[in-house]
Amino acid sequence: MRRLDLQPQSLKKELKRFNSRLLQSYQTLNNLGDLGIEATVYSEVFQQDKLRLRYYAPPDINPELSPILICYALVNRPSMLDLHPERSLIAQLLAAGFRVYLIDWGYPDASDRYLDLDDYINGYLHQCVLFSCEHSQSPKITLMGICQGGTFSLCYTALHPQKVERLITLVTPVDFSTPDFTLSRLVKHLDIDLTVNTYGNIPGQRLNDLYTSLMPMRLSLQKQMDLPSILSEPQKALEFLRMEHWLNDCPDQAGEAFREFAIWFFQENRLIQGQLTLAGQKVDLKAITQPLLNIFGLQDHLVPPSASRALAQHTASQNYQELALRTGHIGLFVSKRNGTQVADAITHWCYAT
Amino acid sequence: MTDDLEMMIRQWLDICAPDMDGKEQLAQWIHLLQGLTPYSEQFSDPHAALLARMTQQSIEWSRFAQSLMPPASHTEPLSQSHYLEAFQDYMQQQTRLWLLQRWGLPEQFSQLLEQIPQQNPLVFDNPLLKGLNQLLDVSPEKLGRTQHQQFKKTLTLLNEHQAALNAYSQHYQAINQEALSCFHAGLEQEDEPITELESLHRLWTEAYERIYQEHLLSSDYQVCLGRLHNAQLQLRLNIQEQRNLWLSQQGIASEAALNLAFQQLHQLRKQMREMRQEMQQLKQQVHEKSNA
Repeated sequence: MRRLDLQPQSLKKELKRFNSRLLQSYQTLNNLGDLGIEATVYSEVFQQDKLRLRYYAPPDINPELSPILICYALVNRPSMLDLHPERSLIAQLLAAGFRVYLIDWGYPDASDRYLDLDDYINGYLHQCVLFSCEHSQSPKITLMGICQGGTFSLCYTALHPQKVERLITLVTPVDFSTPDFTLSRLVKHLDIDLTVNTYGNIPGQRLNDLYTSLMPMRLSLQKQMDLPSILSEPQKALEFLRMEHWLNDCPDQAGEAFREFAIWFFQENRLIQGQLTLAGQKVDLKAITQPLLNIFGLQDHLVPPSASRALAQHTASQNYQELALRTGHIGLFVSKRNGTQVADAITHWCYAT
Repeated sequence: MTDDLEMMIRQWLDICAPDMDGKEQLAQWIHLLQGLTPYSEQFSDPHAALLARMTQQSIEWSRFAQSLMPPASHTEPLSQSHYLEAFQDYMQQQTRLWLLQRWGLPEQFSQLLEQIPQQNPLVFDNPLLKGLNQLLDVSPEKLGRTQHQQFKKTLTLLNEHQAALNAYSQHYQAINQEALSCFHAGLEQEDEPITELESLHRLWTEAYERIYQEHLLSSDYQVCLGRLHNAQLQLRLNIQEQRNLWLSQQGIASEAALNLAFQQLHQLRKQMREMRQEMQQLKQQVHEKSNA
């Protein structure tokens, strides 16, 4: 046991330090003000059922740049894009002169359990595209999809290419059967019909548990051990609490849409096999001819790079570009190290295409 | 800082006095933390939940760390293998608790089990289940045929859940064992001796996650996980169906009836949407013709 040297006195000191930090954490939390989440000003310009379309006006509109419509995932909330003014992708896009529209899907309740992918893609998303064009008086928009929202955006563009000038996908799963797609492999043997028939809408917390189970020790026990140390310092505490707020703000998933997404995409990988149909229409990725920018994180443990990279082979876009960043699924949006890389890359790419 | 907090910190400093016995320190610390529950009401819900988690963690961690201290009567220093074994036991207990919190019976059953004295819901080989299985031998006429069938179905599902949990827990035991070997190997590779529990915890986490990832990617683990997930949901659904049946027998609207209404509402919403889109297309055509 050469490499272990625990002594009663040092254990006592360590315990004292741990508990002192805990008390300090109480004090920090007690003194913290507003977390400053989603501080960027917006107006709600369109609504349908629980959906709200937000419009963020830039200080100076750049007429060379078509408006961006952001389609976020149904899982979690788009506050990730504006967690803090200093690390806000939305604020960075506004600074570049983009007019930004953002779909807030809202929180489905029991009356929404039968909403399906056709409703989300051919219904809500289509209405948001039409409205963004009308509101901005632009013939077309740049559609930017994030994670599951990226998959939706691909389906949408394949079905309704008319109003989409460019397509940007971020951390988007395309091939759901790559060997390192752990989440997809875990879902393989779950009885999705049973899950939806039991729960109706899928509780957001249940999905969070599934994500935690990808790294259970790190995301539960180790995280709890680190809490007093993190929360005893106000700046670290603020960053942590913003992230916790986002993690715990997990809407339930409309049952039917969840059923279709889990079975058709995760279990059957229909999208890249050309076997996906929505409301009787075949979703053919080869129908996508728009310029396409595909951004993903090389350390993404939720959607591995292999699952996103697959997009390169499946569309007919003559202008396909990739940006691979050394970061994770969430780090891509909030990491200090990345700074404004994502917004800068989008801006330069939009100018160039 | 509030007066309450100031008072708490003063109490903590008193607890930390070097002349106080370790066990007494721990007892006072736990008492102090437990007294914080009403005090945490002044925080917002997420903060209060976070504090509750942290407080619980602190109590468990303090209790564990204190258990490592030699009693005052003990003059010989404790061996490092004693510390290591105690740490390993603690971590294995924590992972086991995590597993059972996640994959225990649906709450309707776990609440029932809590009502029965000496019934430990953490025991895999469940004596209650054995007893219930013996009831299957009771003649259906004595129980009523319908009730007997329901009872039989529930028991079949409970048995399946138990079997699935056993199979899954075997994976966890294997993960724990392999993580332990990995942890020992990691310990030997450290440049400097580890002198703090916190570092030991971190090393354990790294070892555990490495092994866990390997298991996650094995098809055997995935099948086991799917089986347990499905078994848990079958039980839950069975309870819901029995409740719905009972409600409809009493003439009360059940979840199933409500769902039917929502399904019809959804169909209407879909039709509305299609009509709206047709209207938009027509308007567009009119607009284009008038501009032509």
